[in-house]
Amino acid sequence: MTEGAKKSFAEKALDLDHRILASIVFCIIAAMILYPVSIPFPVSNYGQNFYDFVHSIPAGETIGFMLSDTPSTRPQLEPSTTLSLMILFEKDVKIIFWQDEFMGPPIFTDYIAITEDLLGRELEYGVEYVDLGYVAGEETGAAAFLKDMRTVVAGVDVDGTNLDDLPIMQGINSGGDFEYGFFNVACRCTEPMYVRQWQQPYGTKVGSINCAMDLPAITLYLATGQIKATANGLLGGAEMEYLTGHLGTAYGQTLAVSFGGLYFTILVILGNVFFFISRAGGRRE
Amino acid sequence: MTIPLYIVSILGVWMIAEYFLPFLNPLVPTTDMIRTYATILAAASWGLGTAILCLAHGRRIYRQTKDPFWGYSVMFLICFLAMLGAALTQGLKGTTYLWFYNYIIGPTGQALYSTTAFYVTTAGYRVFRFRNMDAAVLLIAGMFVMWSVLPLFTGPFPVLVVIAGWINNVIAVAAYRGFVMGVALGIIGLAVRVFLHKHREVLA
Amino acid sequence: MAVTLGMIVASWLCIALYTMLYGDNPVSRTAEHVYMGFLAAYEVVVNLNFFYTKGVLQIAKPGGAGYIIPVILGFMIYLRLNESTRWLYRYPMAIVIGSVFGVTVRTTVFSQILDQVKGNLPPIAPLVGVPPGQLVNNLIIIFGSLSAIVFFVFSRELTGPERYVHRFGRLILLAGFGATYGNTLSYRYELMAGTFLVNMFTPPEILPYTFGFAAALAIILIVVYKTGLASWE
Repeated sequence: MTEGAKKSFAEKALDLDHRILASIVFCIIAAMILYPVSIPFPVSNYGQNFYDFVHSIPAGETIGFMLSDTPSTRPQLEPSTTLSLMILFEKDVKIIFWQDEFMGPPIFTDYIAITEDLLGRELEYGVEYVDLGYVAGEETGAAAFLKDMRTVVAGVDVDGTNLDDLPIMQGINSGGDFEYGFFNVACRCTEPMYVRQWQQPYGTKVGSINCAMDLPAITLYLATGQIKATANGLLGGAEMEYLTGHLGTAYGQTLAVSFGGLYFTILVILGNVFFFISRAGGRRE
Repeated sequence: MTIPLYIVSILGVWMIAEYFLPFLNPLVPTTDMIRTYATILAAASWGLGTAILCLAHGRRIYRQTKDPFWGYSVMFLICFLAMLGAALTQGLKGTTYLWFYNYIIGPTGQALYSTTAFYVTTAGYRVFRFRNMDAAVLLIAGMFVMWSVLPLFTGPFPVLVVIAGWINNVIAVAAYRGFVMGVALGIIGLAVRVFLHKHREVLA
Repeated sequence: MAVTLGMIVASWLCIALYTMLYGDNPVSRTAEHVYMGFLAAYEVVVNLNFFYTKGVLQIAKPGGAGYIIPVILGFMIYLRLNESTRWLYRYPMAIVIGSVFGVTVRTTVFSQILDQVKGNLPPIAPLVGVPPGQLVNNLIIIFGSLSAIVFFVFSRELTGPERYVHRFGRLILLAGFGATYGNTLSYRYELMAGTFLVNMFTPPEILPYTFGFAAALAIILIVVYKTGLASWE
């Protein structure tokens, strides 16, 4: 088509201002959050496997949990994380926490408070759980920490208490002292790092709490058994809420996300329809 | 530049060798200590980027006549100093410090990341086309997997979960297995190049 | 639940940031710089606190004299800021980079190569004694992953029958990346829904503040740009 010639309807539609598209997304998501409707959905294999994996951890076991969520992924991952902690503490599992990302520590404190609300009691620090704090250095830090925890954290927890004075830390100093472990890496795609530095050298059975974006990379490690189970993003959180009977924010958010996906599907179909119409009409891309 | 490159090579080879060679076990405590030192250095290095950022904003304020947006740099430094002051006066569990984290850093970070949703929506409308076999495969796989995590689709059509499960557990596994192995070979190749000083850019 | 000042600030900052979708404007730029200022200080505080408590304070403890090394090297990192001392920054970074390469490569061989090869062999992917459906799946995984590796490794143009292997590998990779894109899409919408729910619409008492500010901001921005006080960028 030459310049100055009248654009067809399909061509005008393809040139639609991105601000209009953005405004429609905003309205759809906002409406679905303000006026939620419950839609039943099947629990996926991932959700069921993760639930079963959490329940399979023996009562009284001491496990490691790298809990380093970020504010942006907190709404998606909070339900699966806190409900997992609830199940574990109900089984008298003792948990050693640490964070590998600098945004993690304040969120960790909130998660413990939420877990205590779910349990209906306060957790006993030093006996049921301990927070070893932020460990810098990404992969080097994880390797050093999982080799010798006391050296890397200078023998103290996040509040400066000597680890040898805490009952939960008796006999625990490396990743190999855990038979089971979890990591919440938010959206940083560092699950392979924990497979390399925790699962592979020490043989720990690890479960992952991660955002949906990381799932294809994790299915690889699920297939080989290197990661035992995954709670996959918001859907994983909604499934955990459903399986534990604590329906909450994740369940409500999935509807809003569903309609966002429906809108995207309609846009892709319309975009292709207009594209082929305009191509049939002679427009050069 | 030569000595730091030798430090990289020696340290890297040493850490790999001590993992595989039992006769190097007496050196393990030293290697563990070096890794601990590297952890401390990694924490220290975070301040460098922030220092460069603060200097850049400071220069913009200093040259305000040449840059019409120097007011934003003033805003940046005010907020920076406010957070720094809260941390230094109240510690990492102080009320004001956590208030800034919970009501400023957290929400704005969420909003900033979520703007990508608008951009992928526009991209889907303008770019996702059934132009050829390659694009069609990408589009079909993507749509099925997206539908499988949305209850609006899986509720009425549970078969989507089965189809997407097959895509995730067979096709994606095959693809990522090849991808990951290729990347792993690339990492090893890069490490060899760095250890042989053929890739000096790692130390800028 | 009562609306606090913090909730209002969070809601208004989110709305201010979202205005960037309509074009770069003073409101979104201000919100961005507010975020950058607080975040930059936060990350410095957390990391330098780790440097101080796990490094500097250890020097005074019994047996901690060795920690003087990382402390001095840590300060050397900041010599990069000065042109004449920039070369000294390479020494501490050499230790970090050497350690990273060492710990990554030594376990990559096992977790990302050998274990993945095992994933293509029995008992994980058996070809005998399995139902037909699983046999087909295992064959797709084995040939698909090998084809994908061929696609990666051979960057030159292939002629002859091997080009079909190359093509199959490309299609498998595209399907895999399509699956990633599908998950990424839902992840992006999850981010948006989460932001709306947590910051702008919960508790319900904050809705007047949210929509009121959004309306006021829209009117202000329209007036500003229509009257030419600022321009879209």
